[in-house]
Amino acid sequence: MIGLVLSLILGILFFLAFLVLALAGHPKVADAAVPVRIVQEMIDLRGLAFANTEVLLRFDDYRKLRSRPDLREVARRFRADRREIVLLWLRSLGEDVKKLWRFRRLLVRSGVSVGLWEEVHIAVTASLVLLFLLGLRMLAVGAGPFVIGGLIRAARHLVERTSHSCAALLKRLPPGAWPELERKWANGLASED
Amino acid sequence: MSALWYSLLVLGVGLETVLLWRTHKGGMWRHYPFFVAYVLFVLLRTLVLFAVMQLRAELYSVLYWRSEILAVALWFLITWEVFRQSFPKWSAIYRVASNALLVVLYGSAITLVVTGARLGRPLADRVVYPLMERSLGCTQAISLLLLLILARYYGVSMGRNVRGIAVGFGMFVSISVANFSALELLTSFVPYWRLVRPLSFLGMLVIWTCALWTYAPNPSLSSGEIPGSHMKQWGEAWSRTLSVLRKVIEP
Repeated sequence: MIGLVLSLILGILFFLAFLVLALAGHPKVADAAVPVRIVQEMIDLRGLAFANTEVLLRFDDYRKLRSRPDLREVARRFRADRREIVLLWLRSLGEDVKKLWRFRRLLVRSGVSVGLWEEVHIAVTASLVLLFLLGLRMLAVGAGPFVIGGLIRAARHLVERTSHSCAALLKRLPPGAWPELERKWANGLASED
Repeated sequence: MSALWYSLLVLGVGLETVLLWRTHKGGMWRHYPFFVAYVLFVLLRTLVLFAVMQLRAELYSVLYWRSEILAVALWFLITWEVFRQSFPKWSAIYRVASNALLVVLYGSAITLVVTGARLGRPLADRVVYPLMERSLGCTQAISLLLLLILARYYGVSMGRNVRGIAVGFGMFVSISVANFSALELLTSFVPYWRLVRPLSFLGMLVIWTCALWTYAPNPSLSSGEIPGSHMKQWGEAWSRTLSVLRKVIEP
């Protein structure tokens, strides 16, 4: 009985999924004329490039300001500004992960040989990292930028791991495949504009 | 046989004939041989069953369900066609997609065996056929969804032909799975079930006929030459890329 109900629900869900896929259209492919600046965007990992994480999350300055009653207002503004910067940085880290993930898929589509489990692992890791970053952003909004220092350092480590796995793939790319890869990557980005 | 059934039958045979005519006219049978083989089987089966119903009506039920086993087994031809058209053997995604497909097929086989074993005793036909339709329908739906999702994930564009085949067939098997479950859950659903099945099949034939009216294959995974100027520009950009990537890899 439970099996029948489950398969009834599955059938309906399958139908809806096919309907969505039918209506979604197919991925757009832009023409070959693409500006090379897109390659620069490809490797412009802004979140990772930011080196002063420790300074950004340091609590000392804020504590010093808060300890003096006449500087309470300054401390409040300092905290608000710092929160904005942290949120901006977390958003950049998220963009980096998406960019790296997309780049990896392009590498595979361009001929880099990978295994199924490797792909599943990367997809799961990237999804978890994005969820984690979203959680951190919510925490930064709710609890402030200074309480999440440790967690943010962990996030940075996870993003770096994704980056390293992507870099390892680059080494497996057949020689001479880069021009084609660059163009495809550029096409992919251009179609999202 | 009521007028409604005759209409559905004639419409079905008509659509199958048009589909075969279009695939023959456009030379598509060479590109989609597994798909055409399935449509041909369905057309021949319909004609044979119709003849049996007119001449030996008492054999119709047995013959219908026996040939249904073959028809359901041939569903794999459609999935295979979508797979081989979307992920050519030389492409790197082929390995990922084929392994994912194998996981689904093994998983389905194990589930089917376990379900059969749990039911125990030799099963009556009225249990076996719906079970087969549901199980294999689920397998097909999951396999096709997996292929479509993988294609989207890797940005593989599907042509009108293959997309139509996949979506039309996917919708049909999904309805089939839900339909056979509902049939067993609610006996009052039987009158509707008798209509839903042929109507969903006709719907699939309409989608297929529209999708395969002209030959529109999947765009090639590899693309054309890059202009010389772009190559030069790329060379410069690539040198910069490598140096930045090195910094990312070894901070």
